[in-house]
Amino acid sequence: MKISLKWLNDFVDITEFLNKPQELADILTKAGLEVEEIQNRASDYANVVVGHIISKEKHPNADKLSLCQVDVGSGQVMQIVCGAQNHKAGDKVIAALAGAVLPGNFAIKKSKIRDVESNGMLCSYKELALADTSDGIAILNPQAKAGMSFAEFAGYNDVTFELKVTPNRADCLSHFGLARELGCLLNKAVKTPEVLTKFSSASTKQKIKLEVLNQELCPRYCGRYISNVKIGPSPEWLVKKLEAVGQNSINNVVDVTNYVMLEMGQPLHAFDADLITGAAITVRNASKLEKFKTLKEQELILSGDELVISDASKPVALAGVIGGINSGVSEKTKNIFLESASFKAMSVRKSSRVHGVETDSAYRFSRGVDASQTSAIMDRASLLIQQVAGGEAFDEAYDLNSGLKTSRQTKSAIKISIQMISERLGYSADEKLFLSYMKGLQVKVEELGRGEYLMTPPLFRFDLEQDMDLVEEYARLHGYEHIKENIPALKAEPTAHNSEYMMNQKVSQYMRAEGYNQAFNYAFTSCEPEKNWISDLEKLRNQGLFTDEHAIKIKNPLSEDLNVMRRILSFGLYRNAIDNIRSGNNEGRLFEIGSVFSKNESDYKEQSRLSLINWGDSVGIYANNTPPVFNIKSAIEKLLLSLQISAYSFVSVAKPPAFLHLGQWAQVIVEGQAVGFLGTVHPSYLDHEKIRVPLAIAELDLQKILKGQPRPAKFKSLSKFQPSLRDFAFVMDAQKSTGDLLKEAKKACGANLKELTVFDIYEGDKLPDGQKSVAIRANFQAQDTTLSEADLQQLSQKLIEAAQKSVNAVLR
Amino acid sequence: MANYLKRLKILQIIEAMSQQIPFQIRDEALQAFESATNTQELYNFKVKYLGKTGALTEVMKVMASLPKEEKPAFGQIVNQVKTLLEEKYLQTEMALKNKEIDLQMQSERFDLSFPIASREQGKEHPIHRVTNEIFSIMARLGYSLRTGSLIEKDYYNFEALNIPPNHPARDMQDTFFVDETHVLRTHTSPIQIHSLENEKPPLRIIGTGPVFRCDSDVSHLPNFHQIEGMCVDEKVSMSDLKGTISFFVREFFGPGLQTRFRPSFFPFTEPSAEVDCSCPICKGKGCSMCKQTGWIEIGGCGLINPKVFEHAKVEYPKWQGFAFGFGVERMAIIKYGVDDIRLFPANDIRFLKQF
Repeated sequence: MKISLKWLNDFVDITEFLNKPQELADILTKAGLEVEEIQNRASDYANVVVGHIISKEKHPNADKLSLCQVDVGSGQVMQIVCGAQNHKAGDKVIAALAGAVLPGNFAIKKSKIRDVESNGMLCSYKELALADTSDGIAILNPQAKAGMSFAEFAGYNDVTFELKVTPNRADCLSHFGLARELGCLLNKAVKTPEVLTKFSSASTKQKIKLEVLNQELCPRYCGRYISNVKIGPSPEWLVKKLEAVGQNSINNVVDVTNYVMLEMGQPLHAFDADLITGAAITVRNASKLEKFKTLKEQELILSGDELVISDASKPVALAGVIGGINSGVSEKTKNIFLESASFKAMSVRKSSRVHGVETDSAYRFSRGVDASQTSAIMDRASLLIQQVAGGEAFDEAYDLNSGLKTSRQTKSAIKISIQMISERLGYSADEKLFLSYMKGLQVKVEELGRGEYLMTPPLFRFDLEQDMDLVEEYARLHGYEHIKENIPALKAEPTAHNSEYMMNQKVSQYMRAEGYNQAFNYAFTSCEPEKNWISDLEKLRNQGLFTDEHAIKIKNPLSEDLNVMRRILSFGLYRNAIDNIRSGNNEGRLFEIGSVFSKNESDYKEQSRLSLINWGDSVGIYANNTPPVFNIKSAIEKLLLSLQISAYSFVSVAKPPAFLHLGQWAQVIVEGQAVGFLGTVHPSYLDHEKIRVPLAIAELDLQKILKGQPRPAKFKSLSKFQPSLRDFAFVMDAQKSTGDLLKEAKKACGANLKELTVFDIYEGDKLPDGQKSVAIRANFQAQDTTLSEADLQQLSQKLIEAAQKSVNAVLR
Repeated sequence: MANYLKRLKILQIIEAMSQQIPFQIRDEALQAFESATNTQELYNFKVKYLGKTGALTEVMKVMASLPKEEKPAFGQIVNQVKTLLEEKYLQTEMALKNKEIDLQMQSERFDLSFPIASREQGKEHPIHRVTNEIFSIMARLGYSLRTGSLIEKDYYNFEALNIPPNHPARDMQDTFFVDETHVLRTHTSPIQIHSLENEKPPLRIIGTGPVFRCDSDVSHLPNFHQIEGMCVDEKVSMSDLKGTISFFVREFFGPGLQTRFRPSFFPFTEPSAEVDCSCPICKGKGCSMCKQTGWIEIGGCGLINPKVFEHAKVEYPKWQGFAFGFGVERMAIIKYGVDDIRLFPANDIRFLKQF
């Protein structure tokens, strides 16, 4: 909210701070009312002055330019080249001199324009950001005094604060409210503005009928009839005050309603009384599908939940939010009905949110407006309306406040003790100080003895409801810097950390050891591209990755790019890899641990996944040019081994997910259960993205893998006996999998076969078509004896038979 | 007589030889060893002089024909020569071998002057790195880590935290909705409520993970991370809170940094405070990171609002508490000087490798 210091000064004396606004800002910020920005228009227009054109001649070297001699005060005359045509000698103009910085960070310097010296610039209102369009340079009132600073001439010698008011401090959403707070902070008296006290003998009640049907949502409604107003422009003081806080002037009556809202925090509305059909106003719920056009010409279709102000035939205002175009004050208006009411915060907020109509009025009502001042503030506005627009304010104004009984018209008292304040703050609170703060806050104090008090906060402080609120008031007013530092003693045993998080940390560590960099992608993604990537749901589900048929939609997405919760993790990494490759990162490894989402009846499920991606070839001289898919496979194997999982396999039966290479993929099986996939990305996908480097990807269900983790490592005694190595070369069908051979061989040889390593695979000229040769090294070692030659013979024979049996492989 | 003479002559020769020959062999062998240019050559000489059929062995055979009384002296001489030669051989062999290994190493020289790092260690994402650093600092104070669902019930995200429906405090957090009763959690605070409901105080909890706000610009991500702490105990004060946060600040950003509290408002804490620490970049002197103020805002905190205890059915004031929260991206920006928040979800490896 914008606060003008001059305006504030009307209610509380802050003269001493007008030249040092930073000090005042610090006081407010320290008290929890953060000043986000200090705007000083006088300094914005530094070196911009009123100039008097003494002479105007044609520029010697340019037809469209003129050469002006400008008196810029104290007898100083400056030569300025000007491109506009609308000025003449004798005019008073706005001259920006060297050193001025105009809006848009446009610095004015001495320069030469077409070889002629120019000492500044004559400005249009547009160039000063005071108008949207320009018809030449600004010609000022002939009375303007040459040399006067433009800010002073224009009345911009005011400083404004951009105040961040937290939702609990609705009482500070006005100049008077903030003045009241400053009165407490600075220990100064606060002036109350004048209100109208004399009315004409005519009766409001006889002019307009009023009925409040929903007293719960409208606890108080005040209205006064003012006849014969003269609608026109507002006087300068009013325009300037509104302008200082960023409000445009509309007409005198509307300006007063806005002014009083900014002054007192009570939103007001003025209806053109002659446009109120039937001269009757009803405050009621909207009917379903009822139409309403706001004064900003927004067409709304109401749901029936909204509260409206209605005349005999139609809504004339969306209560607390905005008036209707059908009944607003215009130049033709003669008589007005001035509304000052109290509407229930939640109802106003809902109307405003549902219809997307955000107004200063709705903002204030939804934070809370003090219902005890409704009538007085109406009379404040009546006074100002009479002052600026004339007219007759009728007597017998409405004040329907039966709804107040059900809302908070009295605050309940809060019991508090000095000891409690001291305990919560951790330092000794001072009783005298506390009482003086309470007095400043207009809290009613009742002493109970033994340091205990009963406190009744003022009505305008909606936020003061419980003892802790008063503790905060004490701390805030005393200053948070008085809070000491203490490390609390630990009085109970710490509990275990979340085990999933801890296991994820381990997985992360293993992945990093394999050279994979950790990535983070948004949990939401774009529906269509993800759908296209998944393409065939069944093929993905067959990998043991449960994937919901439809992605969970976000009701109010930021954009179509982020409109659903992700169902698959690897797609994000795939996009990352493509971006990386396009940025010139030709080789890289990424992994991500994250959730995918699904819906189960009314419940949402989040499954933890691990995804890996590896792309490109390492070009380094000693780089190991293993194809990416094997890099990924190796990382997964190491992960499983690190997790003490030894029963795993990689099988390529059935069909791969749509995005994988038919011949370079495998399903990952852990202890008999499919837990995910790995593979090279389908060539046509890569081709579509114009990716020319190999790229492999994997996705695993971490929940399945981490089930029962951490598993304890179990020691096996080391064999002291001689290991024996034997090499075998088998010839087999190229389509058959080596993994099956190894698996069967291990089964056949038992515990004395310590390790089987594939060290060569050959397909080519020396073999019949469709055959491959697989070379394997076996490491035989017994736990309790040295294997004899006969034992080794027997083991080798078992291995050869297993190869034959499993994949029909023959010893070469 | 002639025979006798002949025999005498031979004996004389042998006698002469018996004294001369071992020395001749010695001198010849030493010369040969000296002349060897490699271990193989040297070995050949060893065989020639000391081998089974070598010169010295042959000389020993002559000893048999010597007069009995001369045998010991002769044998001694031969043995002395043999020992000498064997020693000399080992010495020479060692020297030649060292020379040969040196030569071999010369020929095997690698150029190690250029960087290899053919496979660098992967890096932790800065977000996780910061989270884990904060976590390990707080774990030292007895805090245990908790996580929670990203799709959260409205009740846990708002109502239980004293933010009723249509309350203006909801405006503080632009919310993504999934359905009427579920949101993408806007903060990690629901973790506190679950913990209060499911565990028995006293409690010290750290909650962390992704959170979501309907807000995206140069300084906001719609999906970012928070880490927060909650301490529930019998007597808990603002001083305990400030001491805890100050400890954290010094551990995380560096010793000597100050912590400052400013009054603020959060529906779930009362009193509430914003936390500033003296700028770790300029140590409080003023720089572009702290906008010349010397202070930098790092998070929010306060004593747990009794209304939150009421919702979670925790007895108050028997149990009291404090809570604090930080934005992880913000902490990373401050700690590492990252100049664009959008780098965090971009996963460019040039960025990731820096941490």
